[in-house]
Amino acid sequence: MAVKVNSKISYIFKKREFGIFLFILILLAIFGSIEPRFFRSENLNAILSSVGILMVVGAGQTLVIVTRNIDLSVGSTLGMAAMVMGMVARSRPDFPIIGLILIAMVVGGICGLINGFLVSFGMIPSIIATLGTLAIFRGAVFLVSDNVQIDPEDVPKDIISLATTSPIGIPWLLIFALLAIVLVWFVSSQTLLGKRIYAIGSNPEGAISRGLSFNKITIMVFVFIGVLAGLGGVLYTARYATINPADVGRGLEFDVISAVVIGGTNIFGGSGTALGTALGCILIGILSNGLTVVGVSPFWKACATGFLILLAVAIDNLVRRRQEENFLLAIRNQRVAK
Amino acid sequence: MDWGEAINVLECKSVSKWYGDTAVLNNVNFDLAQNEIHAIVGENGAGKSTLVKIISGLVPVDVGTIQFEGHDRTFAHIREIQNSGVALIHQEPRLFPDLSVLENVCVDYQVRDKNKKFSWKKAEEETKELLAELGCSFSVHSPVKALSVADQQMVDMVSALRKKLKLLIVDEPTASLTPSEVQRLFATIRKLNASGVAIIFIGHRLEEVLEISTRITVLKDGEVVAVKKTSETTEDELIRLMVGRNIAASTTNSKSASNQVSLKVSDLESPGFVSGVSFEVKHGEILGIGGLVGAGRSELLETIFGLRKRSAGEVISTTHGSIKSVKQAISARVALVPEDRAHNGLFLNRSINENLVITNLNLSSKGGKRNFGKEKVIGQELIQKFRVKLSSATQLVRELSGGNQQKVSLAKWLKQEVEILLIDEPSRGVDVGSKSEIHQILNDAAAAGMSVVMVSSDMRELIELSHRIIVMRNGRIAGELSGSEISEESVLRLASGLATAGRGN
Repeated sequence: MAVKVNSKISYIFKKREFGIFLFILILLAIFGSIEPRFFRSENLNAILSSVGILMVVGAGQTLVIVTRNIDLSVGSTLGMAAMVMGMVARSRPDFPIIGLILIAMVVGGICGLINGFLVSFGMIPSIIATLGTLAIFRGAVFLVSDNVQIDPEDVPKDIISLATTSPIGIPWLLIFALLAIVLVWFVSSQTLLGKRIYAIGSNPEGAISRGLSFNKITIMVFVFIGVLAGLGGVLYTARYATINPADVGRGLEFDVISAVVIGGTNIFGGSGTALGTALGCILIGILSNGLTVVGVSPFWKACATGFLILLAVAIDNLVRRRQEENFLLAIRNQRVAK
Repeated sequence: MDWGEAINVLECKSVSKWYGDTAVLNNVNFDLAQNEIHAIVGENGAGKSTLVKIISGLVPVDVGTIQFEGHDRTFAHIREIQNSGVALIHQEPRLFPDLSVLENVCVDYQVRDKNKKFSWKKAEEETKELLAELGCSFSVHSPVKALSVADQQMVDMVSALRKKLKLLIVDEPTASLTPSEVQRLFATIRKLNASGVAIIFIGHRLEEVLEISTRITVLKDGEVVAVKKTSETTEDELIRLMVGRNIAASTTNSKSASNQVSLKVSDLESPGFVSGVSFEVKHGEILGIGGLVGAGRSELLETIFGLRKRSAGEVISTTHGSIKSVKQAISARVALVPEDRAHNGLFLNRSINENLVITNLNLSSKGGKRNFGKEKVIGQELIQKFRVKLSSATQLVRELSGGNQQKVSLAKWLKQEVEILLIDEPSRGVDVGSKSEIHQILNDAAAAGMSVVMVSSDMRELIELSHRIIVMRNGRIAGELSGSEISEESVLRLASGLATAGRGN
């Protein structure tokens, strides 16, 4: 009986990812038929670039949400990393590009470390801790930059070319995005550390009674998303070539969390996949670009994304409730049979 | 008694533990030899679970010392204790529902041997082997949430076995198992014991305790009252030791109830918790519901009140008709006072007065507008009637003692004409003085014609207050006791499945 129920679950999970995939195809068909320019290569490139940035950060957010936490500060972290990197590049134009990328990732990692400490040892619920750092890091971007933006001529060409040059047919930006997704897939499905990350989200009390290092793992996932947000800062700079203290990464948390939740990661922790998140990012990217291209007003655009999240979570809850009832019944029947 | 020749794996000396002012464990001495299966028995709240939680490092000890294999482990960290070979298996398995069986087993795998690398393949083989040894047929890849409780326990067991195990503690493992599952579990325990693992077994069903154990420690109110060799004791003796009081001294509630039925419950069913429960309550009657923790008593009250989804059955108030939802229950003048009053029964951060009037706003408001003057009057009246001890009515409920909180949560319901009161553990965590006042309140309410359905794990309370007692076991009614049949012994027998007055398992 257990096996039967089990195959049913994996069936539904597969259906979930398949469902997003279908939805993406439907959106493509709708946008393409309303506005044929949607399929022009410049537009597709624009979509892929924004999807890539979303994926890099979303990969990290997946693991954070799996541990029953959330990181609202990703946009400000990304901004902080991009700004520090941009200022270094402006003052020392011949700084090696690898060095610049590392600087951005380290700055992001430090922001993540701060979040991790606040949530673990500080015992502040992550939604509040990162709401605070969302404002603090943004403030820090203004402070370090003196509210002066980094102009395109100050951004090294090598950085900008990350969004366009392609060593193997796809731009660096997308390679980074795929690497981030593959890394999260690998960690979550192939390593013990990954299982521990899922374990502390699945049953925190159980994790403590099994002797898992709760705080260490929490800090780790926050540092991880910080580093990825730092990398996101590099990709943002590559794509937009301008780093404006007020704009860089602003509102990113909304798109990232939407993508992760639509991708099937349970907001109450314990489950979620890298593939789902990748699909969620593609969906959000296509939706927001497509709505603009076909000329829907920005107000409706925001509504549409909002509706989509609510729909995804509502479907999730329905499926989950149905499953739980089925489990209880199956287990009871099994025992009656004995 | 001479246990000198056996080597003691574990020695607990003068262990005491307090929660607030209550001593949960008082000067407990406990030792365990390597080759024995040592059972701990006692009533609910005797301190069994606390003792094993202390031994396994989940709860710190207040006074006393714990030695494991000759080393002092009194203040050791939980991970240190686990790595030294101690595992605790709870009644409710502490697993990760989203992970698969294999992942659950491996999640805390520590690479002790630096040269050996962790490999999923090897772990899978080992896990499969262990599962086969335990006679389990489920796949190592099924998610744990799709398994029955019994199978989940086996997963818990396998997780423990993957480490080098020296002491295995099983805390009421059989409470929700079927007989064949119990046999599978016992075979495993015996095999482990034979291979040199010392076992501590906590059990409620004495029959099973006698079957599996070699030695038995009886706890009562946090103290060790006896340590017996299993071969030298009997069920009757154990029950006498556990109850420990002069049974004749407790008086049952002799005041007679009316003959008029007020609430009729028939074939009530809530998947996984309550099955086929039927009973009637009369006006002015206090119906006690006894049973072990996890027997489905609280869930029964919740199902009656409409909080928990039911899959079959009916609840009928003879004056107001069928009750299917909380709303219908309230309009049928049914009230539920939950066990966890801090979370479910009270608004801790609001004032006493607000808590008292919240259920009585219909009396103190008009057209949706609150009348604060009237609220004050109603609050004052209730505070006096129920003798709530406070500094002012605007004091926050959070600041009251457990007993006074319970009085507030009772008082708020009893201002209006509640016909049927469902109450869960009326005196848990309450001091002696408030307890007798609460009992008086319940008795008075019943005398005034109210029907009371009371779940209680406190034997004396159950026996002294109830006119009639229903004992639950595994979500079903194990038997009904009334009049002279009521005794701690008879309740305990039904609850632990020794006697089957009604439908058994």
